[in-house]
Amino acid sequence: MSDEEKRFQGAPVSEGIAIGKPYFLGSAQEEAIPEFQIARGKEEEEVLRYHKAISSSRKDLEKLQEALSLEGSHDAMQIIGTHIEMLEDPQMTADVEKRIRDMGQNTEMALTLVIDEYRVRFSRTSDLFFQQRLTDVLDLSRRILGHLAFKKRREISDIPPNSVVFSRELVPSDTATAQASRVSAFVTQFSGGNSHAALIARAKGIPLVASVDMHAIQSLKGKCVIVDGLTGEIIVNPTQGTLRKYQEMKQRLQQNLLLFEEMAHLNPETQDGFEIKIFANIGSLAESQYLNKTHGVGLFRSENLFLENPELFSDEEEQFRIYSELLKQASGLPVVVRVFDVGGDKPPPGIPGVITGERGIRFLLQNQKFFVIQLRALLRAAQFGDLRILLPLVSDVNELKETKFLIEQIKRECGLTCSPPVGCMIEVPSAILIADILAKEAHFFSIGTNDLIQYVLGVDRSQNQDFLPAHPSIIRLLKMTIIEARRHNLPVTICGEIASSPMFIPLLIGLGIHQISCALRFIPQVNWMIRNCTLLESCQIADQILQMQSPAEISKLLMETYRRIMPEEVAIYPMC
Amino acid sequence: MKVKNSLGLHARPATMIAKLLQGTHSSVSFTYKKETINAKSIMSILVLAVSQHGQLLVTVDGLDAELVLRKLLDLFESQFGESDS
Repeated sequence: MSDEEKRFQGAPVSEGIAIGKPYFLGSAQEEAIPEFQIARGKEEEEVLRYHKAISSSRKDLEKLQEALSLEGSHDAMQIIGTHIEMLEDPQMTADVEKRIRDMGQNTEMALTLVIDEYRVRFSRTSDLFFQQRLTDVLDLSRRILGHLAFKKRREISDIPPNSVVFSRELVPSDTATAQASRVSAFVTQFSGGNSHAALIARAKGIPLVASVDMHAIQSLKGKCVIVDGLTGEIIVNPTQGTLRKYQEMKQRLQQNLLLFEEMAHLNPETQDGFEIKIFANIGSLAESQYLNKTHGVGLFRSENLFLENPELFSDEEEQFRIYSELLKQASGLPVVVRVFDVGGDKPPPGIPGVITGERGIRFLLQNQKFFVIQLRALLRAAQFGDLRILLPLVSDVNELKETKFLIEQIKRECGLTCSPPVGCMIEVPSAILIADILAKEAHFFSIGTNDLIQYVLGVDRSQNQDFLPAHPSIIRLLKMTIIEARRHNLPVTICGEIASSPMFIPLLIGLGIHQISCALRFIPQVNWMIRNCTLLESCQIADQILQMQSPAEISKLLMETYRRIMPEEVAIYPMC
Repeated sequence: MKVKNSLGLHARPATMIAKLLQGTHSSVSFTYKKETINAKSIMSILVLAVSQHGQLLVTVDGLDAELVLRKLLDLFESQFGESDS
């Protein structure tokens, strides 16, 4: 436990510099039992939470039993069998439920108190043999609490301000619920560059470094840690000198961002007078207040809504309220709502009746009941603004046709007259290969490069994907999509992460992209970049790049162009 | 009923009892040393800590009471399959 400065190298995922106190999420340390009062009328939800923890615990135990049966440990299997029966002990369940219902105790506290009662009663018996059974009970209660605490442990909102959060891995809801004021950076062992957790961290401007050995850092018990999201360096117990250096860097970075911010009201127009539209990618209603420097919402990730509130999935009225509010906030600007995009590494809400296994539009068509709820809420809200509906992960024209059919049906049923445009995400290779077919049914295209890169190059989302967007195959696919869209007179927006990287802007413009959608925080720098390049040069760069053979070659040209356009003193981290 | 197995009503017999009673249409309670518990609850059976030769008062009330009682008797008689220990 020395106070020496120690440096660790990780993989940079989300840019920025953070200086803060380390906080280890979900460490092995025993955590205090949370205690809070359940609001009146919410008791049944709490009871349900208890039952969920029980059924998760049961699944654990059954898995364990299976493993034991393979090992042939029959005694151990029997003990686990007893645990499974104990889990669903009707008396215990009744006692816990009673405490929740009658006294408004939270599940953790109710369970702990019930177990305590057993503890007292067990210890009264003089028979040592029975006293030992207490360990079984305690083990069990720890298991249940573990499942309850899962949510609690993941409650990032409880973290003290200015923390650098260390966690073995992150799930999207971790980053989604993290507030930038409390979490100054994330450091993980897994969660690579293209994971959804990483994506959200970047969108929120929270630095994230992955592939770091948690144990080595935790054992240092450092009090201060610096995270450099550009280089991937983690510095524990920095010396005064190091600290000063990073404080200066952090300040410079902030100044540059401020400068971009000040200029962001200027129209995004190239030096030779060509206007590019900038839209915002947002995931919450709160963000819709900051649309003044944009041309509207290019991507509203509706699935983010239920990360915090799974019930919303089946709540038409609440969805209607949110979409209406969103459209009103946009005051007439276009708002592209991408219908729930779940499946894959974005788990669907754990509510009854949801069939899992598929992703994107296929998931929605498979769970038509919920899809109809969302479409109805959207169509009803359409009267408040310029709504457009975007379908995720389209790979077949029938998915588009079926959705349009559903929309017509709902309109007839509800007597609605609106006809919001329906577009599709172009994010799997099949969609590009049939872009001409899709173009006949769709009203617009929106290119999502993150998934596209994954499926075209056969890489895992959590792998480090530096330089991949600059792969010739990806650039050719972009070109193909744009050509098809043009031929059919469809607007095409690019909303993948490539669109938030200043380095790629000239290439995208040169390829024929006239609409860019990116996270709010990237808009000032994207705007700056657009205003400092020319359409002519961009086209030349795109032509040159289309002839190139390797990602390295392409990246080099992009970097050179970026350096030339961005003066040294304002150059901030390029994304790639 | 009398508990015959040497270890008394520990976890395994308690599990067997609770399992036997699952899905029956009777309420079953055990009374031991003036304490009455729900016999479908393993935890409660364990808390009774009935040792060998302990005498239990068993109350069965319900549609299939007779059947349940007979099954319980058999189970106690079989010493929960622990007669050799």
